[in-house]
Amino acid sequence: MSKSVSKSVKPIKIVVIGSGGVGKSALTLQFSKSKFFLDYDPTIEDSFSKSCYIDNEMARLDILDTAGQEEFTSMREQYMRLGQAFLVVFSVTDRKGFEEVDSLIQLIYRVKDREAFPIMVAGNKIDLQNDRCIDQSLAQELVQRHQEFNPYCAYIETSAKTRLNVDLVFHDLVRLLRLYNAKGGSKQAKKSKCSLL
Amino acid sequence: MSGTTYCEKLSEAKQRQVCALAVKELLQLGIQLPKARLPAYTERSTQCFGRPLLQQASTEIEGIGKVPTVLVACCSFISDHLQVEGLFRIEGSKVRQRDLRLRLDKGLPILDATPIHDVCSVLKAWLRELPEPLVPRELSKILLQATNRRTLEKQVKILRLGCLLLPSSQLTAMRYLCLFLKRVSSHSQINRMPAPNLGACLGPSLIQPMDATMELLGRINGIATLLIDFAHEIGSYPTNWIERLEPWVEPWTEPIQQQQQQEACSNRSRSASFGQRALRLVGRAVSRIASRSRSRSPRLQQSQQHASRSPPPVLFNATTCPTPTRSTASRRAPVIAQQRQRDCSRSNSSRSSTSPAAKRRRFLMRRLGSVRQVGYFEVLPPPPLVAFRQH
Repeated sequence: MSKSVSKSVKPIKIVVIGSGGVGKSALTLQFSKSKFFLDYDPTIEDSFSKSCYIDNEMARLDILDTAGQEEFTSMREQYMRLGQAFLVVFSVTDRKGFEEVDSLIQLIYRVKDREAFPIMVAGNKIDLQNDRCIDQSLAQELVQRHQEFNPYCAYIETSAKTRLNVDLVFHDLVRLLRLYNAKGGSKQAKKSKCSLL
Repeated sequence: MSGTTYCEKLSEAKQRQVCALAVKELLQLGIQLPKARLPAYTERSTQCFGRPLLQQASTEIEGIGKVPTVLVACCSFISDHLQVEGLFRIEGSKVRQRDLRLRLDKGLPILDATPIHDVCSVLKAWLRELPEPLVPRELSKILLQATNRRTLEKQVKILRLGCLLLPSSQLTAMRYLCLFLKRVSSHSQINRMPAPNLGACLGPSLIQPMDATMELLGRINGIATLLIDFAHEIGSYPTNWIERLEPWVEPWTEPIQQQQQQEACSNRSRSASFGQRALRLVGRAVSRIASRSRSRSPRLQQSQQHASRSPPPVLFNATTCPTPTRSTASRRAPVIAQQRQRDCSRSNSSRSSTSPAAKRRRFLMRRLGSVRQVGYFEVLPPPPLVAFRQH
């Protein structure tokens, strides 16, 4: 039964982006295979799919795990065009990865030609509390700045190693996407919301 | 298979022979050699970034040759921090990278306090911005064919032979970088960057693929891994080739040396037949005339040399050879020994080739003097920027 349901559901394309070595693959693999892989291979591109129930509604997720290195930026716009929802990962132990988050979000808006889009920002590696250099407030502040014009943006702290919030981050992203689609996903998403209120 | 030797210490003439032998062997292996072409020149305001290798300041490295100074500066800085995890994988700060680039461009040393990942990122940026990738497109075409071969031994052989076709500026830089990366990968227990990881992180910068498809990128990273794993094979030729290189070709490169040699030769071979001696005399006389007008036509002198002695099996002579297209190469390669005479006449006839590339080459040669590098994919001397602006 569930199989036939999963086939009838249109897959949601989720793209995981972020700087190099922040744990995009670890996060994706922990979510899709429930395992934490210790190997340290740089990804070029990987895709996984997983079906799950979110808020009693079937969802089929096609997750695209991408390369963080600068060399692969030529591929970036290509997969950004395909993505329906984005998970922007940074590592709380790595300042440079955090600095890139803002420019990545801006790139999404530009490629999608939208002012609002479902974007989840994940601060990964919070199990490494001793090496932490990005405070939660700092990341919250960044996301709040984006929330002013993009209500479909949120921040969560995760740990791929301890599986903390791993499911939540993907589920919340799907929820954001559903919300976004319900509002029509128009360019004037913010405006229509105001007029309704 | 016997050992290999790095070709740095060979004279130019011998390097040319090694190149010719490599072409022959590659063709025997069924590798298609791409056409050699002129590199693209770009005008830049910077001293290092985005400039062709030959236009950049270089440092002499013991046992390798001339290596661009930026490369040396970055590599020697990183080699003090080989224990850091994720070298070349984790990116540095963009703002600090800009400062570092400016420093390097002015030829200043890297500050000790510079974060290591910034240096790695800047090195990758330098590689990406080269107008001709460090592994030139021609070579990457050959190496892509190598990845289809089943055994590693064959792949390494093609890698070694293919690298011998490169101009020396490219070869030394490649060898230096790959040997360095091999050192990085030897610390992979600590920095977690073995050769395949380095290949994935640096492959696109080293090789610069034309289009970024998944499949191609995967293969390109494979090539980069191969280059790092077998870095000592870059620019090395099989040691047993030394017997196949003809020793008497060497003096040709230096006219004065050559004359001395000729004298010594004629002293030794008094018993040579009259005809031979006469030929030698005529040859010497003409070469003297030729040396007076050498600046205008080096080919005249050379063809005279061919007449005075049996010509050497130089296939891709830096001064006489036209753009060696695949067809000429395949025609020539298997017949080195027998067709010396014909080779000579062909190199003369090649003067009249009128393809646009050849025309432009000749035009550039006239303008830029005659310093050229040895190699199948030869590199013209960089144009002086001032001269280009005038026109």
